[in-house]
Amino acid sequence: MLEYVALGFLIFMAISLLFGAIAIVGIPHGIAVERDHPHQDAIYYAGWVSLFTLHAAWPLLWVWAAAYREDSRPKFVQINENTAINDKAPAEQVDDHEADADITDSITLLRHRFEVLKDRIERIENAIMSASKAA
Amino acid sequence: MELLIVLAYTSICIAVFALLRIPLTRVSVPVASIGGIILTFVLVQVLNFYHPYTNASDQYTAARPIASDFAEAGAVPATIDEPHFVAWFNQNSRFRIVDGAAAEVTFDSIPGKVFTARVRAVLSTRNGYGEQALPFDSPTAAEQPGIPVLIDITDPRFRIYRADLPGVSHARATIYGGNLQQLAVLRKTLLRMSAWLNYLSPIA
Repeated sequence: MLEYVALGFLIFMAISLLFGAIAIVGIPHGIAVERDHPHQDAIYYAGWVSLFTLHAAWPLLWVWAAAYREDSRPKFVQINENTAINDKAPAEQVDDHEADADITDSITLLRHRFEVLKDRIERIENAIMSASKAA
Repeated sequence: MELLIVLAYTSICIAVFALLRIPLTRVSVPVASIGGIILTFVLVQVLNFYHPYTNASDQYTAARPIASDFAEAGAVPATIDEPHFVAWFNQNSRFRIVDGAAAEVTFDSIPGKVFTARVRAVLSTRNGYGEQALPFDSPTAAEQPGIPVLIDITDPRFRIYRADLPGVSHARATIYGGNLQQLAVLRKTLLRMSAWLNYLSPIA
């Protein structure tokens, strides 16, 4: 009697372990999709291929999937006198109305500088033309 | 045997997680794994201590023709001594093993069958002197770290195999100590699982 309980349990173990081995194939791929990982297709295939190596590569796929984060940006920048100006953390968010006013001002300024530059270029071109005619 | 216990725990966990639809979270998975390490470790240690198991066991046939004159004995089959069965157990279970204790044996060459047996004597010496020395010359005795235990296989189903087993047959044996009888059924089931696995060629 106990013989057959043991045999039944062995069969149960074989089915359960096989099911478990297949069930964990997709976990790294799931993590990669969640993070919008650029290598998510590669991680998906590697998951299935690792099944044929008895999941020897499977733990590494976790590392691969977790190595990328979509919104990753430097969060630990230290600011001191030696920090270059471009390394400084973004300024505090200004409110929308102020931002719009800033943009309008900038456009006016840029248009003015454009007119000045255009005028200078025309004058330089005319000078060159008259010089070449004289020659 | 330890591997079987770990795989059994793992398979039960997989089934429970799948059938009860327990989500894989940072609480449920560590509880199952760390709990499993503790549970299987304690189980292995307790079973090994109270119901010791060994796969270092051999049946030795001490063939000694009783009839000295072959010509005369022509028609009579040569009488041989009863085969002796010796299993080598770890020394830490020494005092859990008493003469007459219940035991079970399964042979690699008889897959799927477990035979009931009984401890005849715990031998105190290997090939030396004294009443309790090994009753035969054992080629592997010097390499064995454990203590030799002489076991009588009492199962009537064993009779038909006894004469035909190879001289040195590899076997697995367990002895059931007096304490923690509730856990003996686990050891019995594991031994039967090992017995079924003898249908497969050895993996390790």
